[in-house]
Amino acid sequence: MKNKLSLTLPAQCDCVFILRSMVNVLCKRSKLSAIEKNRVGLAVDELYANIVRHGYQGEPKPLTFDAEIMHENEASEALMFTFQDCAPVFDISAWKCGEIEPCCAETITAGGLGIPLIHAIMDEVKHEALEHGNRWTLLYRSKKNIKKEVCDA
Amino acid sequence: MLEVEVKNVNEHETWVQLTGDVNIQTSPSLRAKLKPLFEQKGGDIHIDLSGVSFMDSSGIATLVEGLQWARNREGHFVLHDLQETVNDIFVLAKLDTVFEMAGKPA
Repeated sequence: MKNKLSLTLPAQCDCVFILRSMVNVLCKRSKLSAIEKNRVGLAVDELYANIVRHGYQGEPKPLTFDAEIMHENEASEALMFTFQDCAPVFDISAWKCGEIEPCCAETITAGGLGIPLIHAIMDEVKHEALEHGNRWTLLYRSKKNIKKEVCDA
Repeated sequence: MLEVEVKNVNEHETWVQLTGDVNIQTSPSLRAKLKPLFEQKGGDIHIDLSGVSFMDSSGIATLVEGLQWARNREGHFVLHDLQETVNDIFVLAKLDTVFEMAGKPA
């Protein structure tokens, strides 16, 4: 259990910094690069923002957050983040889960980028409808060559 | 957590220096500071991002509004000196070629 952090907090915008601290601790323990740490932090922030804005619609209701380092096998480990809320069951059928489409200055619109970014960063994104709420699970496997990918892009 | 400093260099050029994180908590204040600039009739807006190490989609959405302002007013909306982590998010979102980007302010 030493690589698991958990807390329950009210879903308020300023609490995003608390989650970020937890994510940073586990990213550091997993020896992720600065780029990876930033991406993982972004995905967690985006899901949190989605719950605050759309799930709870700004009401500071309780939200449980777990962050854990998972040893999938001897050679690899992953970071798993779980949110559990008591918001109405979310309809994810409209989510854009595919690759982010290139756009241009003429057609770009503000907003709608959060969920695609989560999917672009995380290896697995899972939503479970509960009797009274939702459980969201994000899984991230470390990518040792991510720096090279960024440089080559 | 986010400082926004607006400097009107002259009637054609406004610089905005950001320092801190841009996220769900801080992006409303960024938008509030930039919105009056988006009501300008012309000129260019330069955003100095050298002091920003983290930006989420709410921050990007605010900058997209700047891009739309520039397109409608035939002005320039330029992002300057992005840190590697912030630039990575623009690449990931495939927005690195959509925005006008430049290095350190002269």
